[in-house]
Amino acid sequence: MLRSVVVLAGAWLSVLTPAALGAQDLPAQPPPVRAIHITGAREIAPQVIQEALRVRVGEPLAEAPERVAESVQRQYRDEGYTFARVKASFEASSGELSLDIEEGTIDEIVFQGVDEKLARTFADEFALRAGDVFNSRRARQALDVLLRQTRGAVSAGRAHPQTFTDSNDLKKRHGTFDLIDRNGERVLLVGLREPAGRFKMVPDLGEREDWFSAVDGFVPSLGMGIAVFDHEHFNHAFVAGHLSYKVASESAGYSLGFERPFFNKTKLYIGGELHDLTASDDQWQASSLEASLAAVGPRRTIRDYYRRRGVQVNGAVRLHPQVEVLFAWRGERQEPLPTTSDFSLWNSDEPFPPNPVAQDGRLNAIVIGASTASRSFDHESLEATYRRHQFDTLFGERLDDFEGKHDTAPVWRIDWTSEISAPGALGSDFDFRRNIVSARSRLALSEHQTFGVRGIGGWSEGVLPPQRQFGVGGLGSVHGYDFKEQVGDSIAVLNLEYELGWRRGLKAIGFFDVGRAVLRQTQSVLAPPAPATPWLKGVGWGIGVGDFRVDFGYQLEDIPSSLRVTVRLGRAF
Amino acid sequence: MRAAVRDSIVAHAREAAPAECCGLLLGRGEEIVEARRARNVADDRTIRFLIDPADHFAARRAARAGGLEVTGFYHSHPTTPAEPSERDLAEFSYAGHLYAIVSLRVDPAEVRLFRYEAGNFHRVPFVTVA
Repeated sequence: MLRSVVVLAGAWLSVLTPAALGAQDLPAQPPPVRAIHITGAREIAPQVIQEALRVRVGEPLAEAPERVAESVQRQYRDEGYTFARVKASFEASSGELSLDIEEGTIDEIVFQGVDEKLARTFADEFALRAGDVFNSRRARQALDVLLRQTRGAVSAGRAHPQTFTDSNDLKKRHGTFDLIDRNGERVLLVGLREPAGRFKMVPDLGEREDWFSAVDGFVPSLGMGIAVFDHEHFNHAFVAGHLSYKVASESAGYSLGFERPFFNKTKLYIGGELHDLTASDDQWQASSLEASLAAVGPRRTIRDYYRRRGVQVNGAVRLHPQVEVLFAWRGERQEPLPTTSDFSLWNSDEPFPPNPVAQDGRLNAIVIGASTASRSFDHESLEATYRRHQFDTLFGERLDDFEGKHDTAPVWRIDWTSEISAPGALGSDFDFRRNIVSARSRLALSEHQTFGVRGIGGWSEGVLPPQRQFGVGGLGSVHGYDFKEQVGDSIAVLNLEYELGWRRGLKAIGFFDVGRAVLRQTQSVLAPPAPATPWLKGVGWGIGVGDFRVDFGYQLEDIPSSLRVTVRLGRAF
Repeated sequence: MRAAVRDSIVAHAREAAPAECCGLLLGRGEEIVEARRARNVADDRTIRFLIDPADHFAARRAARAGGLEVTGFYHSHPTTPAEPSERDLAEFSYAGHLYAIVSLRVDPAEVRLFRYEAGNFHRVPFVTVA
């Protein structure tokens, strides 16, 4: 249809035009362009500009020179040269088309929105200098790098020009960068914001307490984070809060703490916290989401709980972006928690597995430790750093994910913690020293193959209360066995995992686990020696999509009758 | 590409490994005559690169002073092939510029050249001259 119209229109024109217009009435044919002169083009090569023009030497100039200038200016803007200006002129007698380009060279840079001292520092450190041509993309990268060191204390804002070179630009200009003419100098304005702090309050889904457990039932919680920015050294203070209500036990939980780093290069973090929380020593085996879903769904328990309420003072020294040493003093009351909830979606005719009775007493302890990881701690959020320094889990943190499907750089971390509780000097009701070393790594053997390994070694002296005893078996430790099949005062666990498939898609998993928790034997000449605690060995396979996976685990010595099927919502480590 | 440029970026890649190295390619027209090293200021330099803007601007100033153009960029892939990654595409793409990628996965190191045009990287054949 369209083709017909075009053909018809063409025929109409061919018939009517000669009759309608005499030869003397024909508009003057624009003179041909005999030469194109481009001056001032450095960032974009003149030949590239010429190729993009709709003007050819030997052909008539089909549009006004102003339109030609606009099209070149648009080309510059598309490449990020926001402040490029192009003037075009056409000399009809000679057929010369001249393009005079000012690419947007800046004479001075002024930072707005921050105090004078910081503005001077930024001006010194900003990669863009007087004499450079402004390119929005490069300028933005330079600004991002500059602001990264402020850790959120300064962010890009809006430039507020006092004068404009062209009032028509007023509507267009509302970004971080602006260029103004000040006494003939082209001044780049960089608009910044310097907020005093940041406040965040969000529902807390397992950050500090599981959102459902047999001991508390549903636990709706709110988490709060307040950052108070230090605009000079960027050592921001952070205040963290958590408030929960435990529906079944009809009690409240809370934590309120702060942390602040000191010094510039080697940072010293000092913080403290008051808390009254439902805690678990089993966070290394499964995530909070898994623990909550296992309890509220099929009425399973994959964490034991106790109550901890008291105070902690903690510190850390970041010796290197990837190395930290940590210390804390904690003085808290630890208490057992009975099962108070009777709710679950399924298996409601069964009782919840009993929560082991924690030893009631005052725990005064010193915790020391160290962490090193493949990724810099400097890139953690304030919240993540605060949480890590609280020593909520003494078994080390989970590994970060690979950043993309092509990433092959190994991800690893090593954590060590020692918790020392003594009645004498520390005035504790508990007398033990417990040490845990954990190492985790994940290696990309190829784009579709990943190998993961985790090793945990723990040993102790003195008498560990039940809430501090090591447990091995079940989800997240050794497949094919019951949760905490073995309990003891020392532990050794090794997990190997091989994944084949797409990192964010369908994958098959093979795994092998071995572990043992040993309870120290009291020496007696009368009692016969106890049999050695056997090593638990689990093996199996799984299938998953993204973070969801189903594991089919067996005891190595009892295949296939020991099959245990577990559903996981994330990696084991 | 001058042989010295090729040797320079391979040497830079080896020095920086296991991190990725990066830099700028200076030249005239289709000829690459100089490689200028830049600091990689990415958060995780083992898997990504971000040319230090200060080095980027310094290279542009030097190119102007020397009558050269910034014709492109180079970076290394310590453990992966000399192919642009999705991240390269997403994060670092200047239209019309050349991109040299050095892969240390093979020995001798492999250098491939690409041009970013129409939203994608296109491989560009090149010859090395003394």
